[in-house]
Amino acid sequence: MNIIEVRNLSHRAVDGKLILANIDLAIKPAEFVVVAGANGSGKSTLFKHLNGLLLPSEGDVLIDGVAVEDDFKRARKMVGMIFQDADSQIVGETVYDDAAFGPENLGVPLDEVRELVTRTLELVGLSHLKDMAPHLLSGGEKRRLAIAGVLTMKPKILVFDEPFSNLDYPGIKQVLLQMATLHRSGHTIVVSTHNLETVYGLADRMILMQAGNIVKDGCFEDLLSSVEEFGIRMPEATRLGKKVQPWLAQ
Amino acid sequence: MASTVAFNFRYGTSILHRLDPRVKIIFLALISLSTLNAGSVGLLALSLLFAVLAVDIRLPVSKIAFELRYFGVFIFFVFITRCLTEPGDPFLTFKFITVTEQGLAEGSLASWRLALVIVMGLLLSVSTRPKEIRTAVEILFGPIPFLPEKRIAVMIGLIVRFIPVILRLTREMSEAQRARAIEQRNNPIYRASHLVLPVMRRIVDRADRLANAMEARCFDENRPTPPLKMGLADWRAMPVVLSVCLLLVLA
Repeated sequence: MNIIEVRNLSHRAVDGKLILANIDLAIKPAEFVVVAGANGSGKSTLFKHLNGLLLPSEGDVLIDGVAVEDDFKRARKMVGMIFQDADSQIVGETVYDDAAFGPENLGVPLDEVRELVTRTLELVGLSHLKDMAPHLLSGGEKRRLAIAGVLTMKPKILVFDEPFSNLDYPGIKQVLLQMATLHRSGHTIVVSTHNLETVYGLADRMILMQAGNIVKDGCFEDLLSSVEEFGIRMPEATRLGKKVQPWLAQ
Repeated sequence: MASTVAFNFRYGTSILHRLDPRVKIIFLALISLSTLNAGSVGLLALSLLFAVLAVDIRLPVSKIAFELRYFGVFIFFVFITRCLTEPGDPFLTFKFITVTEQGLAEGSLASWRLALVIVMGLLLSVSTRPKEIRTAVEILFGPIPFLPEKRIAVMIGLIVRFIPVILRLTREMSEAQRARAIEQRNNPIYRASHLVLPVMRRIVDRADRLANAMEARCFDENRPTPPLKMGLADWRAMPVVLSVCLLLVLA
């Protein structure tokens, strides 16, 4: 059974502009999928349909067999979304409070929340900063806190919308490490990025989008040589006919 | 960044850390009201009390004083205003400007009171987790009819979280404009409008993204609140605070 199923999804903006056009997509559990495309190709709009932040103008989005519209709470619990700008995602006054925000909203008893948050902050390596105000964290730490904030809701799917933007090299590696750990533990990962080299070695599949359409869908490595026609930079090693070095191996 | 680190919670085991946040907020309200007409003796006693509490919390006083230097400008503005507007015996006259003796005395007291209120807010915020302040506000506003206490508590939490972000946005925008020679423009309205409008636009955009992020994490207004407990320290602190309030009102 597919964990994400998108059927004939179209989305129009308020001004009537077509943002997504007849998208059909199926993602299996524990897949690592990269969604790539130029700015304005519809990646973020597609992602926002996965947990009901946007509703389809036409078509359906099903998470583990249930339409998102039928149960928003379930969809948001199952699909953890990490946004491009971590600063706008972090709502807690301290690192601990932010990680606790989701489970508190779900009505999890406070003792369980405490245990869950402690475990999750340890997992992302932020337990020593639990009392710190989020604005004092580094870019990589903020991104890891954003990940912790959704992990405490125990999602099965993690959607990362351009998670590497504005991060330095160590910050990107920290986020990649979290992604790899989560993927190994059975989570389904969906990532949008302009820098394909970063996810090399982790991603199984790539979906290329252009002007609201899925134009290519296939094995990550097989599609690398054809990405430039869709506004994405090909990894330099691929251009030179060499094998790309995974970032986590460096 | 000014006033963003100074007001942050600092972990500790001081007397103030041990007090219930509801009690601290009530104390803060009582002392603030009592200082309205307090004289120099009362203000001196309160200053000494705050100094002891600051030492007990182990506040890095010089660092915080530097971070709060902009409040100093505000306090100085209050002092000058009172000096120039209070009628009385002339102390200094220059052309049409007269500083009166009563103005100097009133200005000193007013700025002293204001400084103490700021220090009191600082002592509360460094010794209380923001979440506990939010919970205390929710509990204290609970019995007041027609007041959406949970919504007010959420708003307070978001303000605490986003003030540093807004200050950073403003600083970035201001630096970007200085880099393009905005300082060559003498008209303050032109300069202010070219700073305020883009900052407001970015804040609204942030608010929109924040709403999305909160919705994505199943935001529910009726979230559980951590239990607060009054202890022996709260009861012991009561007579001290009430005595200080009496001193402020009577002395």
